[in-house]
Amino acid sequence: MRFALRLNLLLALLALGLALTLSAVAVSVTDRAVEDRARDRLRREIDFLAEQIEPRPGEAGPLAELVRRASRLLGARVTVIATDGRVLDDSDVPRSEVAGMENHAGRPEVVAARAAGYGTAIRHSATLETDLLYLARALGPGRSHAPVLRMAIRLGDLRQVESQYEWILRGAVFAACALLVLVGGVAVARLARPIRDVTDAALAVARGDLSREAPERGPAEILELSSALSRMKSSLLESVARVEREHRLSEAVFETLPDGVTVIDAQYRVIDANRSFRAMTGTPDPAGRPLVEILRDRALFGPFEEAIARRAPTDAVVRRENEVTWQLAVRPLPPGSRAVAVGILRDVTAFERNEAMRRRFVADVSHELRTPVSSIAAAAETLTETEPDDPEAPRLVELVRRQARRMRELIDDLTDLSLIESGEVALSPEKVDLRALAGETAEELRATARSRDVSIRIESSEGVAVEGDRRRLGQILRNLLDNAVKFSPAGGTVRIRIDRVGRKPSLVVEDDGPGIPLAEQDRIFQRFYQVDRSRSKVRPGTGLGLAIVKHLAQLHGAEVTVASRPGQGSAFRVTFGRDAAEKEV
Amino acid sequence: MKEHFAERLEALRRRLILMGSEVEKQIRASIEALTEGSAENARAVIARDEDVDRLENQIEEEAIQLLALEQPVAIDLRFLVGVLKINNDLERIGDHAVNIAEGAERLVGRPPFQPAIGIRAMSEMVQVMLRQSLDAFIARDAALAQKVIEQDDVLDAKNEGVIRQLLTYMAETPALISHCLELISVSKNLERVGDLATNIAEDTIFIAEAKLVKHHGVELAR
Repeated sequence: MRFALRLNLLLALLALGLALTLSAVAVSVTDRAVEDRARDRLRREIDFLAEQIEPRPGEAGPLAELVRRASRLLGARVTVIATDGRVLDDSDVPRSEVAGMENHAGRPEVVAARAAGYGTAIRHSATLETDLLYLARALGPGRSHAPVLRMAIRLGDLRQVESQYEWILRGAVFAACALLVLVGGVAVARLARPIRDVTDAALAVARGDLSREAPERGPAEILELSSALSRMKSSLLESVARVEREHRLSEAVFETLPDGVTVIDAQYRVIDANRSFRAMTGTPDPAGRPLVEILRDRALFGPFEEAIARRAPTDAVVRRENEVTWQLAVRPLPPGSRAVAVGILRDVTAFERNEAMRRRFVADVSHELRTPVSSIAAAAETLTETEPDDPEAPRLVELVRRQARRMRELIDDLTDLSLIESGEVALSPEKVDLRALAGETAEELRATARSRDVSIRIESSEGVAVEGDRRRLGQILRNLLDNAVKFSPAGGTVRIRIDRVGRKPSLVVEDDGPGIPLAEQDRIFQRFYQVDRSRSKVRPGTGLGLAIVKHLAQLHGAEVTVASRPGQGSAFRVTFGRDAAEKEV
Repeated sequence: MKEHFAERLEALRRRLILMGSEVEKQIRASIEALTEGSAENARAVIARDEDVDRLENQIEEEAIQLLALEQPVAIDLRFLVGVLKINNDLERIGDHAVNIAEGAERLVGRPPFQPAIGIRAMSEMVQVMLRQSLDAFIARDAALAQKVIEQDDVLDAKNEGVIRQLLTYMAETPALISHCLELISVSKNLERVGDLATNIAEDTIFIAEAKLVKHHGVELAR
């Protein structure tokens, strides 16, 4: 039923028209039917009455009796009109007045009756002063000169009957119309509901409520519309889902970027900013705020102004408070959206610190190498101008030898350190008894110590051993011992104590030197750091010893700490993770 | 035209905020130069003062131009007048930073000295006041501005305490007189910075609430 909707409407209209026409016809038909029936009845009655009267024309007495009885019985006016038009009797007129009645020869029904046998008329009765329906019949064979019998009923009565019928009719028409309206209304409502449903569904989609289903019942046109709406909705849902997926992806990427990212509009207001940006600037909710309120630093805000003004990428490195360094990159965005630029903030504090350390390291190495190299160069130059048997010569040669040795030490240390730091040192672990190691190392340094009038004492618990590389462990101990001897005053004592802290093996090298100020204690393990540079000539060293100790200890899973007070000596403690001897017990 | 005006007001506000942060940096750097005894940092502060002056001129020119051309009323008028006053206050704070930096330069190499602790406490307080007055201006926060105004008396008392202590030192140790005089000057400069931060706070209240607050929070009849 492709045209169900139009057909429905057409049928409804047709039914309405038909009902209206029918009721109009019915009203006019009833009118006539009532009249006809009345006329029929009158005719039969008049025929019957004529039979009664015909035999006795002219007998006034019985005629009058008959007329009046008939009138009473039949409920109609009965008149008998003589041949000359004189009224012989009339049921509705007192007998005494009959003689005074008007000649009825000219009455239309009488004229018609004389012409055709019967005559009928509806007119106003002058006698009774009311509308009457007349029927007249000629009596006897001689029609044109026969007396006439006339009956009349009040049209009022007839109309009353009619109106009763009409009321019923009107009621019926009204009921029919009401029914039509009702049925039509229901039909229209049934027709409208799917339309409204589809409209509602469409509006819901427009509002963004995509869960609403389009109706599945109703006329064909509506179903078609409904399925079109469903298709539209599903393709819309698909697009929305795709856009949402893409948005979520870019949002997730944006949010999780380690760099702080912000997007701003032409009024320098923040459109969006990611988590890193919010964290770096300490602004929980920057969206919509002026960027300047968040950055509040010309060095940071300036690049944004510049990038937007010149429409060119602008970069800056900005030092913030507390030695924090930020790198800022501002990129103008292509026109077409309200976003005009994106700013990317990166915390480069650690990088900058490493850079600074590297630069200082290079400077330190060059500085440390320059001293021996210039000594050697100077000595060599002097030697070329000196006779071989000059008493100065051996001293100069010795100077060259000593400085060359110092350079080699420095280079060895540097190589060691870089190897250790880059993790390229391979340890060959074995069980090392710390007491034996301490004895060997002390023996190596005994000569140096004696030349400075420093004595070395070893205090050790029995059988403290660690798992480690014997050579490297020896290097740790030697560097610590070497420092201790160097910093001890003449007549001083360096003590090596080997014991356990809890169950961890520990090795302490203690001196009674000048000590290390608290503020510098965590810096002494840095490369080339020397507490008192003015004295480094007195106690030559590479400045790398403790750095090497720290790294080697870390390789062995050990920890190096220092306890010291200015004027009261220093104690370096190496605490190992595990006792190797204990394992066997 | 109207929108253009609003944009220019916003740009002016931006410049003033940046000027504020610049002056904050100057104060912080001058105090660092003093506490760390760094002549280099002190000279950097003195050199940067030109920048601050240039910023002040730009802001003043723009504000006057807007006043003259746009003939603003009500809040916009108050804002422009407030900007002019705050701009001026900030520039003078910059000058005090230079004074402190010059003192720091002269004190380089002197050993640390006990009354410096009182000055450090003052400088921290002044920086907080300046920060809060600028925060209040940015947020149009009259309550915060009022808080700044209330701190000024405490700062003044601290200043007097530091000066009294320094005078005692001078009396006891004539060798330290020149050192003490420098520190007295630093203390006075800090106290003036506090006053100017208070002015900024008062101007902020004027902008935000159309109330004239002068001389330590006494509200004048309009």
